[in-house]
Amino acid sequence: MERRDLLKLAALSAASSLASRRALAQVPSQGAQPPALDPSIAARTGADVVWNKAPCRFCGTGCTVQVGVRGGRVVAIAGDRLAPVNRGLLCVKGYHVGLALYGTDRLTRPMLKRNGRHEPITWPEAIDVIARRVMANPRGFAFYGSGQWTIPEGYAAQKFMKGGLGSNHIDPNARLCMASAVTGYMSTFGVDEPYNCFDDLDHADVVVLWGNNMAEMHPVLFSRLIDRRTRGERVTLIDMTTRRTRTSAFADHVLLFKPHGDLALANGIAAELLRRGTLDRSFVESFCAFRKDKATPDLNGEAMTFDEYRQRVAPYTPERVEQLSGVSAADVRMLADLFSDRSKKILSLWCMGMNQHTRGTAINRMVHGVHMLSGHFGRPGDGPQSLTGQPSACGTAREVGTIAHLLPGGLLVANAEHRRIAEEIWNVPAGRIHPTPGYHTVQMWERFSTAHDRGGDIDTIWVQVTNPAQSLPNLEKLFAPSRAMADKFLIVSDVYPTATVRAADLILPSAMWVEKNGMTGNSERRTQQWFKMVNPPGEARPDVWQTIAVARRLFELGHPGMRDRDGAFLFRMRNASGAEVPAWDWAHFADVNVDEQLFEEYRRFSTHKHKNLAPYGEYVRARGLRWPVVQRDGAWRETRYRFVGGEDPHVAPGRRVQFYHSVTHDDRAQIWFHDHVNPPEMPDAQYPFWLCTGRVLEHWHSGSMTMRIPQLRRAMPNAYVEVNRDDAARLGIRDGDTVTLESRRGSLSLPAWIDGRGAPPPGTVFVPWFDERLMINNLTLDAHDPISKQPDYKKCAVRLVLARRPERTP
Amino acid sequence: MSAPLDARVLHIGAAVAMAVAVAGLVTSVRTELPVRRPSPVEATAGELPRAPTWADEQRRHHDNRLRHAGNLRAMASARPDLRDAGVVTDAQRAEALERRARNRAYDGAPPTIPHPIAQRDWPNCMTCHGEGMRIAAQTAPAICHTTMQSCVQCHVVSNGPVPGAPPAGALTETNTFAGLDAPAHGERAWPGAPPTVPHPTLMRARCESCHGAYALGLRTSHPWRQSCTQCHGPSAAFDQRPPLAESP
Repeated sequence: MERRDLLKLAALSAASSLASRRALAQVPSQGAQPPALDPSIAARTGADVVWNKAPCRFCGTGCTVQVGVRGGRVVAIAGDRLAPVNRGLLCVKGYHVGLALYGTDRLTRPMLKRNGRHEPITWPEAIDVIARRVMANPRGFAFYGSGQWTIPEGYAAQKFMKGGLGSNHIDPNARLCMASAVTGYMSTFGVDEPYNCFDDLDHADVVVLWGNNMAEMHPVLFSRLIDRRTRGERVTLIDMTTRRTRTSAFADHVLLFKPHGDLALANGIAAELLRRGTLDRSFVESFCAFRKDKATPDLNGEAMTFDEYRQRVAPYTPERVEQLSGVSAADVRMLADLFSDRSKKILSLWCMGMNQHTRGTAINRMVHGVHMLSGHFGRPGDGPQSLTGQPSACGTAREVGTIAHLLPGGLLVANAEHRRIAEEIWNVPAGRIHPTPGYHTVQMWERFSTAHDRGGDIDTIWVQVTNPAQSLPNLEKLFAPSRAMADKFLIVSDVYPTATVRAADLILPSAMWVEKNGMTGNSERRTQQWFKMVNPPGEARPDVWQTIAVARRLFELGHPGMRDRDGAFLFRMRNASGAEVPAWDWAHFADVNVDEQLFEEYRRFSTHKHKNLAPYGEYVRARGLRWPVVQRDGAWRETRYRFVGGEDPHVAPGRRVQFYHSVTHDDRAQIWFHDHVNPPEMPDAQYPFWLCTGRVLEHWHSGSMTMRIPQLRRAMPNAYVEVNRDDAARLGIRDGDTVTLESRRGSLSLPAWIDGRGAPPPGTVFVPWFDERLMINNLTLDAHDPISKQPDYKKCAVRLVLARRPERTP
Repeated sequence: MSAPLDARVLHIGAAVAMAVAVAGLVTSVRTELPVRRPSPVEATAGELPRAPTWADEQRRHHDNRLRHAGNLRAMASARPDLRDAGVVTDAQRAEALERRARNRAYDGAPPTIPHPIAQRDWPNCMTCHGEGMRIAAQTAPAICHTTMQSCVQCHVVSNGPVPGAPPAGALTETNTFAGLDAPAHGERAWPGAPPTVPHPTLMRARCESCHGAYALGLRTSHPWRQSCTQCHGPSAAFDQRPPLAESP
């Protein structure tokens, strides 16, 4: 046969397989096995590779990737050209995301710790062990998840805990990551999540980064912004930072500020706007009110007048701000000039710098405040926007509400009407949902690490999709103690033997990413969907199945919470013809699309707080849709800008801006005042250096996935401490010397890199936290924001000791 | 007949046809070009000199010594004559594909950087990669997506930049990912017809980056012709361009 005949044949077969998929599309969805091919255009074949869409596994940007599968394995990744977020581009992690599945030490069997050793057990045994722990003490059981839970996974865990066990002890690692952004949005606008979206990156004239190393942390968004310059557009980048980074290299202005100096800077801009009279009076008078903390800070504080606000902010003159923040008075005036100029569109962006902050709620409110005071709000490219670090911190933690005080769709456990709505949708008896918020992350782990007779009332924690043995602050206090207590039981579902897995009593091997169906929500309110494409290794199974299987075992053991009002199982699944499908039985899990069933139920919550979601099928077709998604003229339409007339379908006709969730019920947003305060721990004679922790471009979260990708690991093989050049000279430290960092909580020895990936100012050191062999969180502080309960990983006091000079080879 | 049955018949037919096509392609194409893809854990070379930064470039203007000693541009060989394309043999092509595979996890992955770079400053990638350059035996290919500014967001170094002793620890590096190989040939409608482009063209807008004067073996036999896509058609499927009717 001629080769061209073969090629024709290949083309023909590709075409006919497309046709067959179209035919299949007529068949009602049959779940995840055999690999569910996307019936939409997203699937395309090139020779023998089948391509399909999925959101990237890593950060909160939510790039859509095209995953190439051949012979049941992922063989290639491409940026999805049709994706509005990334338009065909990815970062180095995204291009290598497919390799995350194939580390050789994937967990493939459930393992139970017996006599100090992990021994393989069967799935039914493992499920039974969990169910009996819960049965023995339901109140002592807590669920700890993350912003990496898919939406259906988080929803199942949420319903299991709050609607089944009647317990609110469920919290995600997003508490360590996003909580201050949430409280900032809640107390300013009355409802969580950014009102704006990534379209702003295409329109902003000036971008102000509040402690955000965007070039490394959100590289695709950074490129979307910075590549505008090659098209001849003028983008002014202002990098407000505590150390010089790759982002600084692209910035027009680099404003180095002292830790917590952001509080003074925000006040300084506000004070100048008022002094000059360049605030946007009409915006403030029409849409805003002023607010301050009560004696004990809480979420909603108390009202104050504009005059009081003016008086309290006035002392923050550029000169005083210079003293407090270290940023020159001239630069403070430069910022005030920018915010005074409404012909320019100004976009503020932030992530962990403002959120991992003992005054995190305050600084989030204040940045919103500066934008509203100056009227830089509501136009494309003009507004404040928080970025997220996990693929579904928004979609799952915040929207499904897998947080100690939330119900799905932004409803609250403390609100009787909200509980009633949830009990109605879940069809559980009235009073099932507990009215008191559960333990937040730090509390949960503190109580798990405290002996029972001393008030440690949490005795079992089930961890899914996160790695607290590396990511919690002050590990010696929050994580280590429980591991020596016989009655504390740690269950971990994961894909690799992380630090948490190694410390676990029961290990459950999980399916990851495209080994299962999934949905996530990124930081611009975009909900995305994907289908399973390859099989998980060994006996690894999806987390959502694990949760439902435990619920079913509890049902069988007679736990009353696993029954609804009609006595039926809490997670009842039905196929297209209405017959019940035992999805808890692994043999039947794939008989129905569990994700679709859970999502369609969850969707009913979304209308109560104007966070409307479309039917599952719409997300199958789209590269994500930004909520509220509302049906108009027969089509499901997403929303770019909430609260803005002509954009948001919930804004009353004719209104320019309407904050319809206002905490004061008068359609106004709140402009808050907070004084500058010092951090709880500052350098002193004993511990003279600031320690800041963070990420690097190549590694994501605790490195459990990216450290197993050779290209990423080789590019950044281990953690290090960045030391300022002058400090190093003074202390006699050379590049590559091993130094020991000591804080009041712990110590760590690691190589010094003088002005490495970042260049800290004198008196500051920086350590990335991705390396499980060099755990910097043994040193960090567990002090947290009083409202969001989010700890501050960005500042504590350490000292630096030269430990060892490595032998140098000639 | 019910719809599911139709689908099944079609599916089986398609699968058989695909299997035949694939087997045929493998036997006809693979024997021609035995390209070996290294496993993802095989290290790539990193013995080249560090790339200059913009800061170096600026210092050079103030320091005559540096200007003569370190100016890469001055050291560059003359640009090869366009007409001097040489013979493109199958062996050269195979070598070039293998070379490409060495620092790519799969075909289409951004290549890793085989030399050290400045880790913090904006690396001055364009000094060498702007138009392509050859110094002695080393070739710096020209960038094929010129509007992109933040090069190091996709391209990372092949060897770790952190000084000092790496920590001890049991973390395994092995990975069993097996990446997609580079396509061997484009399709020809008849012997002698210009082949179609057998790879995606997204972010590969400048054909000469791989096929031009500074290419190593993948070069074209007619480098003086500049409008490549006038004869070589890109593939809609590779470029993720579905028929409009199917677009969301």
